[in-house]
Amino acid sequence: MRYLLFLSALLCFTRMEAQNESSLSLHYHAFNIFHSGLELGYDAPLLKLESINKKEQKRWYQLYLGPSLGVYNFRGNHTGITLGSDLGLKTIGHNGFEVEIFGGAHYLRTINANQTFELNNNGDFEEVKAAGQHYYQWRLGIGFGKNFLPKGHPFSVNVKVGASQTPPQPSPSITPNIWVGTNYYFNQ
Amino acid sequence: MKKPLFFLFLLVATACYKDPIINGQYSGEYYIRHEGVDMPVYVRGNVDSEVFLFFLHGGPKLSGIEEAISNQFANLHEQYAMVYYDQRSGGFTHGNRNENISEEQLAKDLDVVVDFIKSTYSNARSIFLMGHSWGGYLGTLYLTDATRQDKITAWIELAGNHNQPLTWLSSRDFVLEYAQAQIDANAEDKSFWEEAIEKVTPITTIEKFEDILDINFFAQVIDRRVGENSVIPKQSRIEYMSSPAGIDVTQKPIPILDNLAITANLNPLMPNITLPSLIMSGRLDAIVPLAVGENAMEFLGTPDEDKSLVILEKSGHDIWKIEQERFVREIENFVEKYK
Repeated sequence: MRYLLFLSALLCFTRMEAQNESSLSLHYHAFNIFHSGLELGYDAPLLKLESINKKEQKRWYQLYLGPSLGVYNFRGNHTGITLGSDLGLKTIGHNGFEVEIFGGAHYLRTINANQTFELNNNGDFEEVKAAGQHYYQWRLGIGFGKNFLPKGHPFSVNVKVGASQTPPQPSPSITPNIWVGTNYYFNQ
Repeated sequence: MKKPLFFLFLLVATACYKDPIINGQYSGEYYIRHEGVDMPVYVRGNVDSEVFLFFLHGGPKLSGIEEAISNQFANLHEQYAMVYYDQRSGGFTHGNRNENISEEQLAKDLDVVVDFIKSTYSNARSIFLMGHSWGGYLGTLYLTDATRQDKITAWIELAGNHNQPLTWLSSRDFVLEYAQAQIDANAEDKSFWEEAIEKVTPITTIEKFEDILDINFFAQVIDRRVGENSVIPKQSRIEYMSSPAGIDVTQKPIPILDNLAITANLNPLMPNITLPSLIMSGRLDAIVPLAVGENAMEFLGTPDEDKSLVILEKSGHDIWKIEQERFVREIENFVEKYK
């Protein structure tokens, strides 16, 4: 109940805008910190709020949905292809400094790094092409960045750190991840 | 747009890259798919020797591949080929590896790996199984089946726990003796060892998995102290995480394996094993103490002249790490005699 009151009070000092300023994102993704990959995403704002403080400084809050497609290579172990979406909450200050938290679920298809063999019905080992496994993956993270929208430039740069888990494999324990990249904004 | 695409191509291309030769030695790397999991298998060393030593890792949820990557048995690679693999419950085996898990399933998996090596390396004339800790249990179980035993040349057990209740109770005795010695010597951490005595003394039979954890906690502390004399450089965290085995190895509970640890004892089946056998134990092993090695000598069906117990006086649980020259020499003598 207290949370609802707080939210109502916040809305009194803010105004809601149309769902614009969607962005295309490209990030270098370091799975387990050491294993490199790329992730291409689209951040679609669901809700944007704007607040103005006593010094007339603006701050934006944005709830966004971020579908993404990624690939990484865990050398000698597997290549992973991910497809999924994060839900994130981002705040951008008048100086362009942005902070976000995000979390989501993704599908993960792995491709084994080495040749994979299986015993067939004749008792011979035959190679399984593009062998790998299907998993789901959840991830949570926090990001920091500099958004140049307040200065009229349609992009931001950001660094995100997070943790992911892929039940039940290949990373049963929680795996650290890093993303470094940029967002390019449309609809300016 | 071209640059990201090129980078993407580079990522996929490097995923397919592998070294056939590592540090001048042959290296074959595969996955074997069996009943729901893809198990990584590495072959390292001298395949021309026609002798293949299979390393069966401990845990049971640890990793054989990690031992290969960190060159734990590099001194044996010059003479023999070594086969490392991750069991269904451990390392970086892919798939739903905790499903269908049972000791018999793990033995069936091993059998498939043996068959794969025999079919892939036509010169694999002699196959030795070398089981460490839990791997000692798995290897012993595997060999109790006559058909499977026929595929194997000889058996090497390194601090293997084929009799789990005996293992934990011997470990308890070791911990109590060590703790008392520390207290008598008025060691700096005397209070820690007083706590050990308090916690471990009441455990006179293994009733539940927590009993094992209590004993094993103090045994591991002792073993880490013994292991400080290791001659094998320890892998740094960065080296480990950047290697192919660099996903944290899980020790998440698998109830079936935990229950097995409470009661499993292969003594009644061990007379079926008649292969030449080398049992190696560390005198300072607090985790699987010497008493378990002596138990293997008593119950194995191998004729007396073909089985021996080698005790490494300064070694702990990872028996190859301290008296390495002696370890390698004993393995070589045994392999050369029976290959």
